[in-house]
Amino acid sequence: MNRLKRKPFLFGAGAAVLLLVAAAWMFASPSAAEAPRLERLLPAETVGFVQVNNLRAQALKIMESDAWRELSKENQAASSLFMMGANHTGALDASYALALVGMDAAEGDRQPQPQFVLVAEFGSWDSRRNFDNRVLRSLRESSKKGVTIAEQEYEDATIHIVTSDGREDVAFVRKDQTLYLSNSAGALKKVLDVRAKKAKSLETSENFAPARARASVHDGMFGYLDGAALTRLIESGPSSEGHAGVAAFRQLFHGTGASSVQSVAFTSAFDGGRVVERFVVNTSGKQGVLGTIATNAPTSQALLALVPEDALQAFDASIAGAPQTFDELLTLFGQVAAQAGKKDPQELFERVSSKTGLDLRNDLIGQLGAEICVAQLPNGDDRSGVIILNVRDEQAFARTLEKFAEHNKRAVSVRDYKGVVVRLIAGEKGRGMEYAFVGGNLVASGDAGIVERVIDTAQGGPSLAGNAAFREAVAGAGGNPQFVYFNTNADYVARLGHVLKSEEHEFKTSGQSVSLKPSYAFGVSRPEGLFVESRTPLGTFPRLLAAMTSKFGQESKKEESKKEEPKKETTSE
Amino acid sequence: MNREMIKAMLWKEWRETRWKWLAFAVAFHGPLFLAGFVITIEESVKFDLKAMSNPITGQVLEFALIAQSVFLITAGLFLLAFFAVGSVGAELDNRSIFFLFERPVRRGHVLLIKYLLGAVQTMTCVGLSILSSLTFVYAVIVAGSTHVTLEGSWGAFTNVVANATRGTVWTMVIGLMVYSATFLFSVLFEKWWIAVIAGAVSLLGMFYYFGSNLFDMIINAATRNGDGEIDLSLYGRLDPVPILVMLVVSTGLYFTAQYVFARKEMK
Repeated sequence: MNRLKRKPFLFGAGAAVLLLVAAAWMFASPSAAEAPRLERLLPAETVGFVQVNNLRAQALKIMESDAWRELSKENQAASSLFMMGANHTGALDASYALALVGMDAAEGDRQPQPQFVLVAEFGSWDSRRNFDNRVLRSLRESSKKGVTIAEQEYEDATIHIVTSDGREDVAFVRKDQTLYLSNSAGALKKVLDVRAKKAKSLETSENFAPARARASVHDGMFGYLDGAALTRLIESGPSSEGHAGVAAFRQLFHGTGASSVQSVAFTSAFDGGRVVERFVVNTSGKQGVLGTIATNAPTSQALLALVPEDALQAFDASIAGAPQTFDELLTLFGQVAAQAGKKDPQELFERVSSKTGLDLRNDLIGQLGAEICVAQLPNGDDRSGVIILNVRDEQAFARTLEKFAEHNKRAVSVRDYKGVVVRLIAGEKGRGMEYAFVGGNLVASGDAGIVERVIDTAQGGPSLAGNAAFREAVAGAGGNPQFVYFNTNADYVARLGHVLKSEEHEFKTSGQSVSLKPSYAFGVSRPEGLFVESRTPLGTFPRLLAAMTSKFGQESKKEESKKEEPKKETTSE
Repeated sequence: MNREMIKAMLWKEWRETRWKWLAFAVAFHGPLFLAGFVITIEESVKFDLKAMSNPITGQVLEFALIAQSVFLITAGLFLLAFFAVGSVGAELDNRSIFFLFERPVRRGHVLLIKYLLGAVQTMTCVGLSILSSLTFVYAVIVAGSTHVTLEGSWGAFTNVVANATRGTVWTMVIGLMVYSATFLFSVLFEKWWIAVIAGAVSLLGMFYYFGSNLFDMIINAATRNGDGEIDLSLYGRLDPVPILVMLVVSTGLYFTAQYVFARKEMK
């Protein structure tokens, strides 16, 4: 013992080892927010939910992305302060799920209400406390009249029911590091039953498990919609005479083929510094309008060969089934309108026809070819749009446009550009529409010079289809897509600035031309349903962060100002 | 006393105090360790570090400078008193100083060597801790933040370091004065704990005398302008009068210690 007393370093080393072990334990054990799978907390009958995994981790990935680096170059202080602001709202240290778990029964004159539940699983007790303090304050202050909070014991939890004017506004339960918030106490009971293992969770649902497995993404965002549960929910709606609207909606739901949807899964996650978002619609069969869209022929992307190489963005889609889809929709809306006692859509078309002089079905829709392409081109310091439309009969479509000009008493001028006839239908306020037919396709633009650029491209100029960046981007698209979308992202940072801009954060919203990887999206019909994928710099994450920062930032400020109030009083005394 | 003797005495003092001095130097970086600990375990702080940019770096460094300065003039001075208090008293208490008296060395020289080495050690710690803390904070920011670049933040760093360097003159002179006072107590009281109490009481007395002005001077009045931005103009002012006064006081305290030591009855 005496020897030990003489060796204080031994005690120091022991303390250091203990500290290291404690630190290692802290780092090794993941927080609740890091490994969420919030479906385990939701009831099996959940209709759909969207989950955001560990918001802080997503925010860190945003900061490390190329897009944020570019944004930070021009907005150094603002980008830092935005992220720090988001951090100090207390909302980042959690995973969230917003779920539709069913419908409340109708009571008296009150219509049945959808039951939503927000589940927030926090990384620590402090984070949860901060969050629910802010949510509660927001609730109290959102209503002008008195708000009361009643408590109800259920299972091993206390349900707090917030009512204003005798009406239940919101109910919430705090349990460990999790907060459950809902517009219905009944919905919370369903969730608490799952927690108490009295009811099955969504995790065990037969439909859900394969959708989750197919998603193969455990990061970012995940969304799921159970088609069968949605159909059941809609079917369970009132069908008595007084609910014609509900019956009409039910008919619309079946007519569009939505009832054949087994599930919809959505994922959004960072991959290689960018965000990949995927929608997968699984259908049991291709019925209704959805079926017609799904069986539409893929786009040949031939029109992209007419788009000049420097196009800033372009959208190309197959419209081969447009006349059929139009007819089906028209019939469906006619039936729905008749059931709901609303005006027949045919009347609307007649009004359009009398105004434009065109028969929408035969002069326009019936003349459409297999493909449409819409592009945006640089035009000096500005941008201009152009539409390239594949038509069945060039002469017939030309007559349609002439008919329109004649009916509306618009002057039409004609000129020749490199052997192609370019027509201009004068507009009401000076500007008009310039158009030409190039290889059986209508090329139209509201800005002078753009049609000529498409003609140049058609006559051998460099096109978007041959552009290296475009080709590299489309290389990732599998199968034969029904639509493709391409964006050079030249103005992405400026657009991002617009999204993030607020009273507190001043971001530049123009004059920043940056070099980012282009965005690309495509949609393809597969035997099991529809698949849509997009690759963009940041996806929907910045909007999500901006929304949360703006809401919780205000609550955080109120908290701080309340803390400062007593100090001010002391000073004045 | 020849050169060999001086070397031998310096070596003896250094050998006896080196671990204590190292511990003292580590303790003087307390805020740094606290910040490091918080960054390591607190996700939210780690996030802020990651989110920093070049303009924010300057503000953080300014804050670090203020924090370290406040630490130095509060806890740092108490630490300094603890360090200085064992200079003479402990050797008187355990009677090891009589070994030196048996050598051909004058009492005054023994005290001079102790004072000089202690003063150098103290001033090094007090002075360098500001600069080393700032350098470390800067290194952590550059390494840990995604958007902070050396090119973009170097100007802010050198600006804060330039102000901090002038700040070190102040803290070193204040440190020397406090060291000299505690050194005197160490000579006066053989029991180290009496000297500690005396040092602590003196420091409290100093804080009482300056009152809140001392903190206002460092934090509020001189370091914040109307917009709430940190203003380092105080660090830019090197007023020779108070510095000279403090040096004179330190010298006076040293000679008082010599006077007391020469007349001290030691058996």
